[in-house]
Amino acid sequence: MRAIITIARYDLLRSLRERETFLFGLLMPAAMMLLLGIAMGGSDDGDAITVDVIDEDGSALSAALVEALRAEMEADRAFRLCLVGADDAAPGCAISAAPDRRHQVADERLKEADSFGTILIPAGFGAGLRAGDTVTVIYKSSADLNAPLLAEQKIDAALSRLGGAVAIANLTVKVAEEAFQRRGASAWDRAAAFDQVRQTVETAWDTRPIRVESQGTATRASRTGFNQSGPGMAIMFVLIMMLNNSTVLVYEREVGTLQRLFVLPVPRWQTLAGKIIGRYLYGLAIFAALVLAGTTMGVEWGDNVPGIALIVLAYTLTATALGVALATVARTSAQANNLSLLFGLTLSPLGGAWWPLEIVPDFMKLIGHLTPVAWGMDAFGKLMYYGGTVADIAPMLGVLLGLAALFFAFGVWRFRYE
Amino acid sequence: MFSKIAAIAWKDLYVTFKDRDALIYLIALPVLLSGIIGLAFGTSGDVQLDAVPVAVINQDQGETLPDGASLNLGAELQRAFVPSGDPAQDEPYRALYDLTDGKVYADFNQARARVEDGNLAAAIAITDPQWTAKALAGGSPAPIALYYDSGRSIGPSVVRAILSAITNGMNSVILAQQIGPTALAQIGDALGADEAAIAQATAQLRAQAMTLAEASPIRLERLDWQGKRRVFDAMQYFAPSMAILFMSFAMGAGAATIRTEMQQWTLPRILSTPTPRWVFMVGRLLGMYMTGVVQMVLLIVATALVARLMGRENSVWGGDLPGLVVLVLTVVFAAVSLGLLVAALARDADQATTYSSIVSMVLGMLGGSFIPIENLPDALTWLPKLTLNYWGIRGFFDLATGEETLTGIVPNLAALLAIGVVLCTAGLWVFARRQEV
Amino acid sequence: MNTAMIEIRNLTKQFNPPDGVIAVKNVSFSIFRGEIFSLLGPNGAGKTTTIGMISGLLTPTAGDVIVGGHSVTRESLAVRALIGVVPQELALYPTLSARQNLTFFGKMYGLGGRELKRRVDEVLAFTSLTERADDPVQEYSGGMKRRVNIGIGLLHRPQILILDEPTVAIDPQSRRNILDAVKALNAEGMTVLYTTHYMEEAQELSHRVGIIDHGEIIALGTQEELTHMVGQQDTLVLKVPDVAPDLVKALGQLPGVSSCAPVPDDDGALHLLATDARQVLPEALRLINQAGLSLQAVEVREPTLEAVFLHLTGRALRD
Repeated sequence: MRAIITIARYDLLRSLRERETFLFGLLMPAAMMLLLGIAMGGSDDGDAITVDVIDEDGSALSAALVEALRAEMEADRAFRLCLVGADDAAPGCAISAAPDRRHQVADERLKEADSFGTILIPAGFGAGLRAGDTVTVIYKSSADLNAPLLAEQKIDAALSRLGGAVAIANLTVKVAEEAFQRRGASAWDRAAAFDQVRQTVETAWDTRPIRVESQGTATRASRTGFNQSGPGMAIMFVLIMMLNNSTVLVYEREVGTLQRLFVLPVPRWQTLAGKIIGRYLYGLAIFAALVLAGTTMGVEWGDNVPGIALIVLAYTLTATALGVALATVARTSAQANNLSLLFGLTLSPLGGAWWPLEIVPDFMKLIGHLTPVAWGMDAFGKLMYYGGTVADIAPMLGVLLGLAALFFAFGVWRFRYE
Repeated sequence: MFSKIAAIAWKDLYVTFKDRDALIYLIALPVLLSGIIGLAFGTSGDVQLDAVPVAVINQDQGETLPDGASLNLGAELQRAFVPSGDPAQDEPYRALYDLTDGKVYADFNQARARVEDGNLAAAIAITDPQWTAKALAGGSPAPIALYYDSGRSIGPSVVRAILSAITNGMNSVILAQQIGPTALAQIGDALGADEAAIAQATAQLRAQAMTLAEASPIRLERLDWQGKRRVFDAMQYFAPSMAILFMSFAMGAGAATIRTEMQQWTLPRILSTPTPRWVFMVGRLLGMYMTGVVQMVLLIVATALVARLMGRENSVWGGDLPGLVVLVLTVVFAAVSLGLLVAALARDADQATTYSSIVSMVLGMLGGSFIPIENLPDALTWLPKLTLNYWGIRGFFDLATGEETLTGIVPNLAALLAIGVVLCTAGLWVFARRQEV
Repeated sequence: MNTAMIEIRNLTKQFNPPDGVIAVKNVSFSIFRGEIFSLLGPNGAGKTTTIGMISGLLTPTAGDVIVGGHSVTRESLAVRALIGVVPQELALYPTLSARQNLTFFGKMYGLGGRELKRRVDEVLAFTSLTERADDPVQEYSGGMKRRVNIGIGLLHRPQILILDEPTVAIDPQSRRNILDAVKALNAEGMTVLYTTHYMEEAQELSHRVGIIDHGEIIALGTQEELTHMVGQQDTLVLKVPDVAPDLVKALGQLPGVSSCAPVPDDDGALHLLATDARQVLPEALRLINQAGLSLQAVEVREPTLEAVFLHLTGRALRD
């Protein structure tokens, strides 16, 4: 027993002192957490996303639409609306452009990722609406993966608000025209009546009767970039580091230090156990450091500390076991190194460490759940988003431990002592 | 001299591709990752969502209108999520049924519990039996409760978008009923119409108001920035980003072996033959360059084949061959130069390998190899533009989508060339200073 | 035969001047066409640095080397074409086969086509590697790797072969093969510059020997000329359980003893240089007994290069 402890302790201390541990176990995953977190929307209080507007119409109605858009989009400061070529630019969006170059400027800004989308109010917008026609507003967005549905929702809301008012005004004026025509409709100021009804409706819209009162389950975390990237990167890098144990084991076999341990008067299983425990503790140290690093970036791990600890313990065990299994398959340390990168970098996106599995098709969810990554992410998700208890994550922990047993069994069965 | 340069370059290429294990990392891994990303984000390019599971609780008992007809706005709302089985009535909502998988629940609390345990994305509830009446009367709000799962990013947004479209229509109808008659009366008065005419007009308005629920007069057309219908094809983005990432890994590892040649004494040995130092350096750089080009070509062919097997219709790399060739040649040059500088600065070959993989990874992240970096803080938007990944990925993406041809990616080529020249000059300078010792 | 093939003129090498180590100090000597010249000296004496400058790897701080009429500082490439260098380390590509290594370096020597192929086959045969020629070098034994390492230096039939400690850390049989090969090559007319810290090798191979220590040539000549320097002195090798500095001093002061030094890397071994070893032995025994030690072994050697080194530096080279 003492042999196991000695070997494990020595193994752990030596690994922790290596520069690579700091670089690949902490610095790189923390940097990726930060960058991916920001890229996927950061935390709730991230910078506003800029959306440009080109008003080609310049009518009262187009101005009303810009106002409605501004009201909707800037309400929770998620977006900032910039009027291209306008004199009275909002802070931070003074975009000067001659009227005939506005499209070019806006396209350039989109391409350079200075803005996220352009809303184009075409000439004839106001006149068309007054004539009772259907008009089209164009929303150009950058062709990117994370173009948010949120922006479109806000635009839709603004369009419905103005559209509703215009439709009611048009209907009212049309009915009035038909009903009162005999009485000298020509003397009647149609446009004034339209504007009056529209404005009344727009004002009344604020007190519209049917409203959606929404409430999220978020007693704890919400879907922010960091809440995805935090557990995701921790899980990915612990997996890569633990798979890389195979490189260490195969390398020690190559240079003979492993054989030297096996000729000691200690049962082989104890030597192997000591090694594995050392690597496991090493993985736990990395995972713990990454959880802390995530916390400083604003990852909301939740307050179920025993639950978090259990996930860390179970997941690291599975990853360690997979590393041991890999060590029996690889012939050379170079091969082990390549295989651990191969598995680490493919299992992670499959299992949802890069993006939530929610957004992938069903069969990809199924494939994802063949990896320990998905079960680890699910368990974290349960704690973070659903206020899960230890009982709630028990199934995931069970699967992780089952996988660990499977990998260990394979590894010990196939391990070459010679 | 040229035959010696060729011999060194060829040796380099041979050693790299002879190593079967390295091929995992050079070719298999990036192809696999591109394939996974392609599968995750569908073959057509759109994010393919499964139907969002949603519960609808409608306790509204409806209202009998003055004309004797009965109206149940709650039931109308429910039909947007749950088909009633009457084709005529369900017709307007048909397109929505693909988006959601709605189930009728009797008990809001039960549905809430299902949301909390993650089985439902959202529960929509109208719990007031007098809901229609309240909504029509105005004055007091008629709320719809939406309880959604904050743990999901997209599902609740879909539900909210549908709800808002439906409720906006309903509100238009209701506001028309409330405001229209008053407005009509005013207009009628101004025109001197009599009570009967106004009453008749009001009745007409009420009758036609229902049409307002149908569609807003303002339509939104969604385009991508080039003015086409928006499709973000993940594979067109990620196949080049993975290829560039792993190519720059390989170039870093390749450059590290220049240091290995110093340590394993093959460089001194070459220098003891009638071969000048510059011939060795040019040979090695050419070897790395050829390795990178071969790797990119293999990756392009392999991902295109995988995409074909996956049944994709979109081309992953586009059809602009001159553009592709020139971009591959330029991006590999930039990556070789990066590897060279890192290898020159490192203490020894091992450190060079480690550092170059970190540098490639970090530049890959910044340059958008893992996820397009869009919403960086304003002060940092210049950062990705310093990376070869940024210019390379965008160049390939523009070629793949057919937005640009060779002439259109000239800025990308120029940026890559500039990055390459700067890094290469610095790398050679540092190497030159290392000549002895 | 006495035309200089290599002429070393006031050669000096200082690393990182002005404060760095001076590895070679103002060294001048010549190596004649057709001879085997050994540079003998302990580790760190400046052998490898000297060879580095001769083969153009290192730039001399001062002085020059003229090889076959070409200046190393001004016509480095011409010099390199004349010489074949076998570095101390195994300078090979481990994943390539012996044939591929030879072919690659052959191209670096400017060989090509059928000529290159023929030379590679010859070298493979000469080094007895033909059978395993197409296996990766990393799968070879240490001796086989050494043979490839030497073979590369022979590819272009150099007029001068420079071998830097080619027998370090290999088995006796491979060492034998290498020494025989060097002799065979020399017999065909190849000039050989051989560095070593094994005096037996220098003794067996060389026509002339240069003894180098602390970057300076302290003696140079044929073996006869060198051993003559120590006169008729014998080397007395004593083995005791423990070497006390006092004992070394006392032994050195015995009448008839010119110097006494412990042998590096060999605990308890002492080298005494004496005019008549047999006469000194009883006195030496007495001193050893006085020190409370017992003599474990004793050996009397005729004058050797080892004795020369001891005589000149007061230190033993190595047993």
